Amino acid sequence: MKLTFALLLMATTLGAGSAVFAAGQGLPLTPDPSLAPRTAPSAALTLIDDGDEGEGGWFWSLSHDDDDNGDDDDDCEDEHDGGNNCASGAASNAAKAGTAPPPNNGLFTDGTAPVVTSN
Amino acid sequence: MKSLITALVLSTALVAPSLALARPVTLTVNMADYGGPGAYLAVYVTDGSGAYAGSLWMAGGKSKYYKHLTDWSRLTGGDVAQVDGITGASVGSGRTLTLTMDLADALFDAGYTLHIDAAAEDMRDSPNEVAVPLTAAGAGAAVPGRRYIADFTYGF
Repeated sequence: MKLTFALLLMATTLGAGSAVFAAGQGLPLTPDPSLAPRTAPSAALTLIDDGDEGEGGWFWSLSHDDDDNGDDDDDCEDEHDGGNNCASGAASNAAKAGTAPPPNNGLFTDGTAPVVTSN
Repeated sequence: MKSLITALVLSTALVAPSLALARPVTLTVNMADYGGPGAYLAVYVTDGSGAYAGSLWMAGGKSKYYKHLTDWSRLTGGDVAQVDGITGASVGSGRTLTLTMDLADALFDAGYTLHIDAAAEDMRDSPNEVAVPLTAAGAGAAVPGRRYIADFTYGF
C-alpha cells in the first residue's frame, strides 16, 4: 500500500511539474502575435507575376519572344495564353505589309502601300 | 491631230486632280533607350472630333497583344482588319522606324491628329505616346514621346 501511494504521489508530482513548465515556458497553444503580419500573398501580386495575360494591365509578357527587331510572328510558341493559338490565334493576326493591300480607310492613296525601314 | 490633243488635254485634266489629292509623307519614329524588348506601336489618325479615322501602321505582329495599345484598341474595338497590309515588326529600344506612304492631302490642316500608342513586354502600356496635329506647318518638327519614343517627325 505504501508503495502504491508513493508511486501515485510521484506520478502526480511529475504531471503537475510538466503542466507548470508547459504553462510557463513550453509551446503556446495560441498563435504568436509576431506572426500576425505574415499574411498570404495577395491575388494582385500573383497576377503581376503571372504576366497579366487575362486583364490587360500595365504589365505583359511574352517570354519566348525576346527579339528586338521583329520576327515575332510565331503565335504557337507563347505559353502564357492558356490555350493553343496555333489553330485560331495565328489566323487572326493582321496581314503583314506586302502580303495584302492596305485598308481602304481613305487615308492612303488607292493601291499604294507604306514602305517601311528600320535600322 | 486635234483629236489627239483633245484626248491628251482630257486625260491630263483627269489625272492631275488625283495626283494633287495625295502626297508622299515620311514618318520617322526614333525610339528611346528604354532598355526593353521590341515595342509594339500603333500609328493612327483621329478627326477633329476625336473620332477614329484610320490606321497608318502597326508595329508588332501578334494581335493578341494589341489590347496593350489601349487607345487604339478602344477606338477600333481591337479590329485586326484595320491594320491588314500595314503591319510590320516591333521596334527595338534605340532604333529608328521610317515609314513612307502616300497620304491624302485632305488629312493636313483639317483638324486631324496623328497618334502613336506604345507598349513593350513587362513594361507599362503607353497610350497616346505621341499626339501631333497634322498640319503643313508642323512638318519637320520633332515631337517628343513620353516613354518609349524619343521623338517623332513627319515630313513631305
